[in-house]
Amino acid sequence: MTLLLAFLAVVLGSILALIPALMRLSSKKILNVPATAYVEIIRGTPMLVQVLLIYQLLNIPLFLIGGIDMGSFVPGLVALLINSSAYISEIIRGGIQAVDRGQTEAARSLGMSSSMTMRKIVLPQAIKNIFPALGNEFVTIIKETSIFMYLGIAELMYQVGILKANSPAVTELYIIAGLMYLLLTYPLSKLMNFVERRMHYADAK
Amino acid sequence: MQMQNKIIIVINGLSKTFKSTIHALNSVDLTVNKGEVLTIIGPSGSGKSTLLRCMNLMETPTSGTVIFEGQRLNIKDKNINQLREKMGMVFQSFNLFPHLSVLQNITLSPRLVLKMDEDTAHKMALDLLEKVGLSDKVDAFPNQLSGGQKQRVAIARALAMKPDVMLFDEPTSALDPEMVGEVLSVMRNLANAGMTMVIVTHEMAFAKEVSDRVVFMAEGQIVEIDSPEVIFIKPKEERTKIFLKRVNVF
Repeated sequence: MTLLLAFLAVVLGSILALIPALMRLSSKKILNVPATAYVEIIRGTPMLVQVLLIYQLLNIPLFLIGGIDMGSFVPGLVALLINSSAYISEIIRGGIQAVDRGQTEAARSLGMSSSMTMRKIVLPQAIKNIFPALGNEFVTIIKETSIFMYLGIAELMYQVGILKANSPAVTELYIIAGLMYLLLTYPLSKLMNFVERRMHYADAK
Repeated sequence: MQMQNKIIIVINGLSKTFKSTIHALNSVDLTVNKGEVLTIIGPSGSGKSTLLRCMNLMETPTSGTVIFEGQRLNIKDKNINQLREKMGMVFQSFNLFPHLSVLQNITLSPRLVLKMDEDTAHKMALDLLEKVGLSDKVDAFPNQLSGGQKQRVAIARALAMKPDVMLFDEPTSALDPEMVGEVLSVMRNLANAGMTMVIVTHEMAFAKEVSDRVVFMAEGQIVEIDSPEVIFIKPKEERTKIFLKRVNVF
């Protein structure tokens, strides 16, 4: 169950992750800004908070398909997908940026459009850079899955029920907790960005 | 070589500024005639490569115009891909596609962009490989080739798009000395076949031999344009004299 969740999260997450990755590489602000915000928010909040939020928002009743309770499986998968797609999009972005600029120039000089260049020249080479890191991400997701499996899906819903009894604003509580973590992690990831840029500069000359 | 005196590229008031401080090009005017071989020489940092790369908009000019076959190349020109098909480019660092075989490197763009069918593209690639003397490397991958072989494949790849002009950006600068000759000989054949060529190079002897006109550049400007005889033997400008004395060829 854990493996199935992790596998689906990595495979589907990789496909989904292409969208924010390409959006972040775009020079257009309309594409760039929302994708950056999405990645920063997901990376900057703990998985646990995201899972709790998704359970709260996707209130699916218990029903079984192939012995698996979809009421817990679907929200679990959605939460993992959202989480892994943000991380994987950063891996993909790094992989794409690691492809030599000369490759793009050569393809464009041959009259290929930018999307053709991306599909036929850049992505096939980027995959080689992406793969090892993707394996890493897979391991991480397995670990994360076990954490929230340990929490217990039924128990979780039970807990939320108790919380609900005490406070009418459960969703808001989760969001506030998430925001507080973001406050701590966002400056850190900005610092990482800065270091990354300095490294690129050192590489260039 | 017969000069048809038909202009293919017109550059007017071209300037390029990098990071708003470095003036790589400062108001350059230049015309390239159909069928001529134009070489651009000058000290490093003089803007030679930038000028060449502005011709097919690999670099976006800060100001000024580039007109190719009567059409202005603008930043927002939607036809830039179509115009680039007609301008082959050869890079200092070869830039072969490492995940594709030699054959695929050559046929990819003709098939995708020109919608050429597989057989025609295949035949054309074999013809081109024969011209550059690499018929035996059809199925090799770029990492199995020497620098000189890579550059010859890169030339074949550019020619596969049947360009009207070929732009060479220091095509031999990244090569070991013993491999320079094979690449220059391919370029010489191309020049003799009447291809319009713009070449940025440090190979002075080659420039003197194949050029119809030589451009000497310094500090982002064209100092002198003339026949190779004038530039290399009795240059008019002091800066040209100093440069040629420094490179110590003639």
